[in-house]
Amino acid sequence: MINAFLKRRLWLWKNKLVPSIFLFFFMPVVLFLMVSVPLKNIIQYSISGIAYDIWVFPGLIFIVGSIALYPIIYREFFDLRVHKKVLINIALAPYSKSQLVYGSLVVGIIEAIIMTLFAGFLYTYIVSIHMNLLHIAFLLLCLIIYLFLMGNIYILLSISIDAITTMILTSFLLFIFIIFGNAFLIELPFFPPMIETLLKFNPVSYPFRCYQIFISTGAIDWFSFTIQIFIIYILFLLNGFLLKTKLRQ
Amino acid sequence: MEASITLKKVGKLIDNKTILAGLTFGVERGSLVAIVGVNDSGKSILLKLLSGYENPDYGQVFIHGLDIKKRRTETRALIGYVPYENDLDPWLTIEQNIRFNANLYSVSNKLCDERIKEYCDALHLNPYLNQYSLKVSGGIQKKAMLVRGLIHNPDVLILDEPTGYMDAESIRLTWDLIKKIKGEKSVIYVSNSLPEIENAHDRILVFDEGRILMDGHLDNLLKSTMDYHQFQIEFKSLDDELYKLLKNIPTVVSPNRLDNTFHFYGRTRTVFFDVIKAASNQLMIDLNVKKLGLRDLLDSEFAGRGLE
Repeated sequence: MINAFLKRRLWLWKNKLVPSIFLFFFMPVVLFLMVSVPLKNIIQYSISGIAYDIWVFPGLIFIVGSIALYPIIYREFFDLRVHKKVLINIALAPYSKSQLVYGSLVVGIIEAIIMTLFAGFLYTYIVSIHMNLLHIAFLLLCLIIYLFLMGNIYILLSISIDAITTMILTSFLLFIFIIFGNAFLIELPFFPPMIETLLKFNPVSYPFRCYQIFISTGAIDWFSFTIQIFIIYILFLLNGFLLKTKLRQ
Repeated sequence: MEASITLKKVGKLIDNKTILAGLTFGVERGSLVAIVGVNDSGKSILLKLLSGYENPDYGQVFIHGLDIKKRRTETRALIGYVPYENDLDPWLTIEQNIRFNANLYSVSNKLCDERIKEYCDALHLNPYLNQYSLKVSGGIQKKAMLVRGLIHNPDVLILDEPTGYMDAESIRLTWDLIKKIKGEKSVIYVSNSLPEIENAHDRILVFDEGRILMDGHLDNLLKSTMDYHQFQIEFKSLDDELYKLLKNIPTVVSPNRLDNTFHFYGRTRTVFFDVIKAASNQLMIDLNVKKLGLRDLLDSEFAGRGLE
């Protein structure tokens, strides 16, 4: 099944090669120029004294991943569903709904990771960041867990919402939250203490925090990882059930 | 014969309205079954239940003896479903749409190539294989959906308006293919094209308000319900006296008149001669005799005016 979804994504890339490549190259560049460069002139150093353009690098990687994954999930579970296209045909294939959710998500994550790797190479070239292999591997691990969490949230929204205007507004709010509420660009102590405390309990920010803890102390927060994997599992089941209910199967 | 599809007291409610009410019937393996009925009579919902696209609220559906609800994965591999509306991926080509389904059902590339060649040759679909499904006509899309439904070689093919949006040539090619695969596959379809149903069926299920009103081959249905001929005689002048005389002939059934034309039904063609004999001194302009078909059968049932 994953093979079928992967081939389909490749065909879609091939069929829309020029716009796909354009977005592939320009999305990380635009993000860097419009977000990182001006913020660097405002913040300059992180609270722990690291230069902002180096500190923000993993945050930008997570944001690129979030943005790259969104259209894939949106197309699969919202656009095709509300327009009564291929999703019904896929749902009739001999797989459970949870398997279909899993398959689509894995393929989306693979594509998002490829895009993120490209963005990573680009940023390390521009900012000249040096990371050892262990740091890169741990960043990738945290990113994959984060994308599984975010992907499930995207799927939850795409399945639950039927109107396009509601979907656009919700997505807009979600992106504001992703970009500013997860300490990707602005550290949480910059928020008022109450909001900071609330944001610390946001499970979507756990993978990024795990990465930061690993970078600064070398420790792995196993408890946090366990919670994240548990949440991902619950979301999988919920999305499978929702898809089944939505398709009245 | 062995049953391919079996329904046991199947019911479906939508918004507390009964769409299907306690349906029980079976479809023999390899048969071609047509479902016909007025709009909103539950035909398409029935196809959705058979394909596993929707679940019944009560009752059971079996495919090759397997409960569609309990043995979902196994039964789905046995079914090919072609919905009424185009549901191809708009940004994939026709061939990619078909191959995607083949990949979903783990069909090998070799088999997929063979089947694409066989079915696309039969439906004259080859020139369109590399075009986006978004950019081809509805008829081509429908043919592509049929090939997509057949690509994993299902035992049961479920078609909602198989020739919808098609031109005459495509309709002929599609029915040629369906008649060819009938026998090795059970085909169950819904159509509003009565001439097509008359020409392609082993059995017709006439549906009304979620129930099966009639079930059988057209000849048997007509024989058991209304083995009639329809007659029309246009007179130079059909006055009340003549109309009264003709309608009182004992063998004339359900007479009526429209201007100077006398319409009536009769069990045999000899009724016609009874009328001719009674009106022999009148000037007749035109005559028409027709053996009743599916249209008349449905008209008589659904208009609520039985012939007798």
